[in-house]
Order: sequence, then structure tokens, then C-alpha cells
Amino acid sequence: MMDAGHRFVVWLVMAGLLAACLPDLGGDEGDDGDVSLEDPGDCIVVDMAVSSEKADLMRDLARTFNGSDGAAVDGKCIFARPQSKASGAATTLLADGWDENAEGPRPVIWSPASSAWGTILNQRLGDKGQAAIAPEGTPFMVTPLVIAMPQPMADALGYPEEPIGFSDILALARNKEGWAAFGHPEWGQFRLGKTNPNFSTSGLSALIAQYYAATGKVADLTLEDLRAPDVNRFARGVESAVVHYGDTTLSFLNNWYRTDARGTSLTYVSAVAVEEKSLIDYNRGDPDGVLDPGEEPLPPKIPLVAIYPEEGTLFSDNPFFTLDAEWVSDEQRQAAQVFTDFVQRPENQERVLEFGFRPGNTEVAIGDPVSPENGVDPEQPQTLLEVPDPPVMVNMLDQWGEQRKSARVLLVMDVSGSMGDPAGDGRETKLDLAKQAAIEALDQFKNDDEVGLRIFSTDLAPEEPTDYIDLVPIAPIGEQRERIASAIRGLIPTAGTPLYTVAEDSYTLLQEDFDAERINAVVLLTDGRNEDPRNSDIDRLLEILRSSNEGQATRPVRIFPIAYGGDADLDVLRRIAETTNASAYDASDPTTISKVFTAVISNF
Amino acid sequence: MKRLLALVAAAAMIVGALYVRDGVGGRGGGVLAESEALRLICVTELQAVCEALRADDDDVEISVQEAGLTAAELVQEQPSADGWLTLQPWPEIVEEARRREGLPPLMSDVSAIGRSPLVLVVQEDRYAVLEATCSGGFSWRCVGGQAGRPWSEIGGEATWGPVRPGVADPERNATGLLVLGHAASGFFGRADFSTRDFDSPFATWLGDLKRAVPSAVSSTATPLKQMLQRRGAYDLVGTTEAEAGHELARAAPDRREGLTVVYLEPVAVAEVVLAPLAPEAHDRLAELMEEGGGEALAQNGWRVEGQPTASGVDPDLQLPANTNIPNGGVLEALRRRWGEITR
Repeated sequence: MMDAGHRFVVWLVMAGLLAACLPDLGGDEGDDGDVSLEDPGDCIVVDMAVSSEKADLMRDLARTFNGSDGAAVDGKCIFARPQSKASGAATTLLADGWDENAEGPRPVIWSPASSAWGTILNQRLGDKGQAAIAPEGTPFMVTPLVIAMPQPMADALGYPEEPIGFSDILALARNKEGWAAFGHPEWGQFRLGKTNPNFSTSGLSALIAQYYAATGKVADLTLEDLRAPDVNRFARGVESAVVHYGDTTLSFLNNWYRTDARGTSLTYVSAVAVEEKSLIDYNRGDPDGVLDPGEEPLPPKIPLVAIYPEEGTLFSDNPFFTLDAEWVSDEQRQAAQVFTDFVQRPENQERVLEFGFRPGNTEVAIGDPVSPENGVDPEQPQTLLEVPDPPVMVNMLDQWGEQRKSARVLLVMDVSGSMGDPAGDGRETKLDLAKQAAIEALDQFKNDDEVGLRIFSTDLAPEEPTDYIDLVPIAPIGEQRERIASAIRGLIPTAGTPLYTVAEDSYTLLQEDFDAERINAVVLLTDGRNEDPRNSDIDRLLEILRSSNEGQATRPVRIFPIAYGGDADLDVLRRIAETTNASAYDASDPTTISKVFTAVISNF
Repeated sequence: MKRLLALVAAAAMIVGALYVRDGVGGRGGGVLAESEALRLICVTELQAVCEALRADDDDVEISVQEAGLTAAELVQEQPSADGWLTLQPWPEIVEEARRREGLPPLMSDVSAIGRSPLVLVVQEDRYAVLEATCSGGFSWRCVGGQAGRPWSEIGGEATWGPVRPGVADPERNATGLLVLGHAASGFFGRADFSTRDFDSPFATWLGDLKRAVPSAVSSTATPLKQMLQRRGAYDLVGTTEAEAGHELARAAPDRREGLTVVYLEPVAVAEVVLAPLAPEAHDRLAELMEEGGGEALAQNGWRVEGQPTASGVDPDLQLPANTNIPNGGVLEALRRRWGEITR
């Protein structure tokens, strides 16, 4: 059993790892994007590490700033150079050592999503006997955590005339009668979407709010509060209503958007805690907040409503920290202040609004799109919750690890011939790296999770089904963790890739033994495309997956595919994932597989 | 052995004191030459004033930090600046601490160069509830008495949560300490109370007040700025008219909508001082204030004799001659009490 401090460090490391990879998904802390850097010439360089959701905005602002008359200190030009770096990843890098070759330049300005990251960084440095480097920051823009709910559901609950709090949502989540209690049996059970608090800032904020709701407090949570049996029961009840744990809120928003197009969004999930900014993006028809070239925003048929919890909520404040680090010169510090002042100018703060955030500069009004037309209320929230002390947060995360909804997962691993291709530095094969990552990932399951192992390749077995073998049947992993690890260690590459067959049969297996008390899922790792002429109809497969995943009486089994190596069929895998309201993960660079596995398992 | 160590320590203090007296800031005595940079430490509340001074004079160097941090440094270390632009009674607090440490006085000729009444910025709807709830009307005593209680229990909305006052950390922030003194004066109904008056009802009241003040976030923003920036952060905030007037005047209309500025009777007054830390810099500091200091203060909302007032300054309010704030010793005691209260 890890102690709390160790657990906290593990949490931070994992958060950093995850935030560093998140290859295909984006997220409230998503893709780190490219690190290609512009040439600053002879200017004073202000390197910046900014959280991904504001990276585009910051690059735009830097382009406007660089070369302008005001971009100078003592007559010497300043060159602001932002790079996207997820908050957790940057925290870990700043605490443990920033490798400039791999991660780009060390930042002069660091802007994570929340000031809490600065506190965490300083605590980690302090634990190692090092001086704090994140001073008090200047908030650049802010956005509150809200409960996102489809409009008809919010209407059914009487919002906004009837205030709704986290405690109401959590009571609903534990109500076996579900939406029938509100005259809508067709919506089925009340389904809650939560992000993993070990990885997602929104998830952590929601967890804090959940504990406040459980204790009836709005401040000063204590360790004693967390240990109370009632609080424990409350938490377990809430977790039982969770659909699955997303690693980022955007997993839910993307799935919501797709189900909206199919007219099934009301049976996918009933409520998810997200940042107000993300809800605005969704309602504007841009669920992931990034419009690709040629992509036109298309508002959903059923918009989401931002519920500002009655008990209060928490803000993400996007601070600008000019680091008190040895690599920051006085000249850079002055230059950083010039850029910090620049982004606070009203004309630049107006641009914050374009991205759905509330400006940090109070001279700028909170205008469109933070408006009722987009499902949000600029007059809210009326009160805030307090961030608990670090030891309480650590304990909260510790407890969540035990209280979270249990999972029933089939790990399906590709052992086709191509998995024997060299990867990384060429000394290991793709299969070697995947085996190592899978074995490491087993530790992330709690003992109560049920996990099995299936391998697949064409003509693997002498008799039907010939394309896959269940090496370890699904059972509580606490009883067979080593057995699964041992089986994985023994894997060798064989023949072709019967992708569709194994996807369908694995899905069917989970459907047949569906356990409503658990998250039922398939993790499908493959490095190729379907090579089975006997089963090559993707549309048929998707139809099967779709038909049993929609409607209020569904038995949702989610397939989380991992596209492994450059030859994996990411497009098909993404379609499989989306059809089951899950997410696909891109490990096209085989050396990232360990991080990607960590991200995948964060869904459980 | 202990006695010997004490003697050694005392000797070291005396030597240190002589060193400080003879060469504060390492200047080496005499009069600060025109060509030498004038080094100012400014409390965070007066950062804009100091920046204006620096903009007017290339030979002015500034550093900005919280009053509590500077005070601790001035008691323990040799000052590295020529002057300290701060609020009363911080120089008095420093001198008292130095006296207790056996160190000689550091600052002389400390007099007010700008004044500003203390105010409360309150959400209007919540102000009305408190007015109706408290028998004596709206006051700090009333605020502290209701602090932390759910608004729904005293006639407000359930969605307002608990009564949350905003006070900058009195342990380190100059305004925060004055607001705390103002609040305590409100409890006692007078400013000339002493530590002997710190009875059990007061301890309860003070504890409730502190526990209701939200924990500080890692941000440079003052409680008032946070109130304007993040809705729901506070129901009311204690600060100076200088800050309230300035911030509300520049805030977008939707940000300040529903907020009201309350001047409590008797009016309590914050005073700005420029305390010389190096005797040789005395003349330069005086010149600085004559040349542009008064104007800079006035432009930032402080009331300065002979200077026009900025927007947000109530022209009809005449300030009392005294501050109606407890003396430095009592404020220091309050500051310690505040620090001892656990949440």
C-alpha cells in the first residue's frame, strides 16, 4: 500500500505522463501540438509553456506582439515564443528536470490551466528541499466548472428556477428509478460522466465538489470528513452511476455530439462536470474547441445547459507565472512582464472571449459568447467552493481509487506478424514494447476490477474460433494479476490481423456477460488493418456495435482501440470507438505505448 | 553555556546595530549623490505609484513586495533600500520589533503623505440582507457575527452560499492589517481598545470572521480584483477607497453592476508614508515626493493635500484628523491572533 505522499507523487507523475501524450484526443488538457519554434533573431526570448486550450490564442497574441513597438526592453526587442504544454506535464517537468532536447526550451513564463498547479509544483520542489519557482501569478482568463446537462433534462429538473446542486445531481445518480422519477422513463437511468481526477483538472474539481456535497460543507474539508462512513457510502453510490471515466472532458463532449447527430444523446450520459468554456464550444458546434481547416461549426440539435451548482463551484484561472528559476535572467524577467502586460490589454483580452473564456482583465466586459444564447449565464456563479488543503486532496484521490466504479475489461492484443517489426531504437520489437506497457498498466487496475486477456491473429487456434485465444478468462485481477502478466510476457508474433472478427466477438463476449454494476469495456491493441477476407465488412461490424449501444435499455460495452505503430488503421479504429461511445488512442509512435496505455486505463 | 551564548548574541546584535546605524543599505553615510540610484521598496498596494515614480525618474529603482515580508526583513537583515513606501503603522511595527531585538531605530521622520478612507465593497442584495438582519445595521461587527452562516438562514438566497467576507491576508498585506483593525474597532465600537479587551466573545467573533474568509489562492489579485474577476468569490470586501474607487472606475459596467461602496462611521483612514531607511537618502526622498510623488498618489486614488482627487474618491467626504485605527502595537497583536486561528 502506498502512503499518501507517495500516492500524490505517483498521481503527479501519471498526470504529467498522460498530459504529455494524449495523442488523438485533445482534451481539457489535450494535445501538446508541435514544438516547432520560430527564430527569435537577436531579441530577448520569452519562452512560454502554456496549457493546450489556450495555445492557439497565445500564439496569435505572440505574433501580434513580436515586432510591435512595445515589444522591447531598454531598446532591445522581445520575442515571445509559446509552446503548448499540458499543465500536469509541465508541472512534472519543472519539478523533475526539463529536458530541452525532448521538451523544447525551458519556460520563462508558465501558464497552466489553474493556479493549483503552481502550488503543487512549489510543494514538490519544497519536498525535495528546493526553492519554490512559481510565484503568485496574474490570472490571464478564467472559467468556472459547471454541470453540463442536455436542455430537456435540465428543463425536467426545473432549472434554473429550481436551483440544482452537486448534491441533487449525485442524489439523482443514486436513484434507481432514474429519469422515470421525472416523467421520462425513455431516458433510462441517470448516467453520470466523470473524468479521472488523477489526470483531469475538471475531474479533480468535480471530485472536490462531490466531497463537499457528501459532507454538506462548502469549505474546510478535513481528513476526518473523508473518513466518515456516510461520506464513503455517498461516494460509492455516486461512482456506481458513472458511465465510464474519461481522461478528458472532451471525450464526453465528442461522444455527446456524435450521439446528438444520431438522436441518442439523451441516453448516452445525463450530466458531466466540465469547464464553462467547453460547454460554450459544444453549443457553438465545436465540441473539441478546435476547428480544423474546412470544418464548419454545426450547433447540436439538443444544446447543453450550464448548471451552476447551488453549493458553489471552482474556477480555472490560467495564471501567468514568471518563474523564479535560475535559467530566467533579469532581462527575460523584464521582458516577460512586458508580455504579461500586453496580454492584459483590453484589446487582447477581448480575444479571450472568442475562445469562450472570461477575461482576466476586469476592464473587459464578460460578453458574447459567455451568454444565455450559448447555454451559460455570465451572472453566475453566486458562490465558490474552496480548494481543500493538499493533504486532504491527496487522501481524496487515494479514496477515489478504491471507491470508483469497478471495471470489467477484456484486454485484446494483436500478435500478428507485423508486431515483430523493430520499434524504437530497433533493439526491441513492437510486441516487446506493447508487452512491457500492458504489464505496467495492470497495476492501475484495482483488485476488484475484472480483467481478462485475449490475443488475436489469423489462424491462431486449431479449431473455432481460430482467430483468437483467451489466454486468461475475465476474473478479478486481484487473483490473477501475475497470471495475466506472465501470459503477456510469453506472447510471440504470428500471422495476419483479423481485426473485425476479434472486435465483434470480444464485444459480444462482454455483452453476453454484461455487468451493470461495472464499466464494461474492451481494450483493443492492434498495429495493422483488417487482413481477414472472411470478415471484411466494416459497415456490418459498426451496425452490430451501434444496434446494441443505443436506446435507454442499452448494455453499453465500450471499445477503446489503441492504434499501435504507423500501419494501424486509425480511421477504422476511431469509427469503432465512436460507435461504442468510447475513444481511440493513437500510439503511432511505438515508444509512446506505455503512456498511451496509462491514458486508456484511466477510463476505468 | 546558555548565558555565554546569550552574551555572544547580544554582542553581535550591538555590533550589527552599529553597522546598520553607520551604514544603512551599505551607502556609507553622508548624503546620497544625485548620480546614485534611489532604491525604493513599495508595498504591493502602491506598486502603480512606484512605477509612476520610476517612469518619471530614471534614477529610481523599485522593488515591490508585501509589507509583512519587508517588515520581517527590516527586523532581521540590513536594509537594501533607501526608502519604504508603505502604509501606517508598518514602520511602527518594525521599530517595535527592532526595539525588542535590541536594535536601534531605523526610520525617522515618518509622516503621512496620502490618505484614504477604509471602505467595504458589498454586493447590494447581500448588503440589504445584512442591514435587515443586524440590529445595529450594517457594520463590521454585523459582518463578523454572520460570517460563515448560510445566507439562507438570514434571509438571503440559498445559492449565495455562506456569508464570505474578503480581507487580504493581514499577516503580510498592509491593507489587510488595516481592514482587520477596522473590523475589530467595529466589534468594540471604538478604536482605542487594547489587548486587554480581547475577551472570549471577541475571540469567537474573530475566529468566525477568519474562518469565513476564503483561503487565499496563488494569485497577485487582491480580494476586490478577485471579486470583480470571478463572480461568487466574495460577498463583500474590505479595502481602501483608493483601491475601490480605482478598480470600480476602470471595471467594465457589467463587472461592477450590483456592487456598492460603503463608508462606515466613524470613518477609518489608511495613511501612506515614505519611510527613509538610509539617512543619507532623506533629502532625495523628500524631493521625490515633492516632484511627482503626491501627484502619483492622487492619480491612484489617494487623497493628497493640494492635489486633485481621482475618480472614485468621494468629494463630499471629509476625512477625520485621526485615523480611527488601533495603534501599531494593538494591530500587531491582532495580526498574531489572526495567525493563531486555525481554520
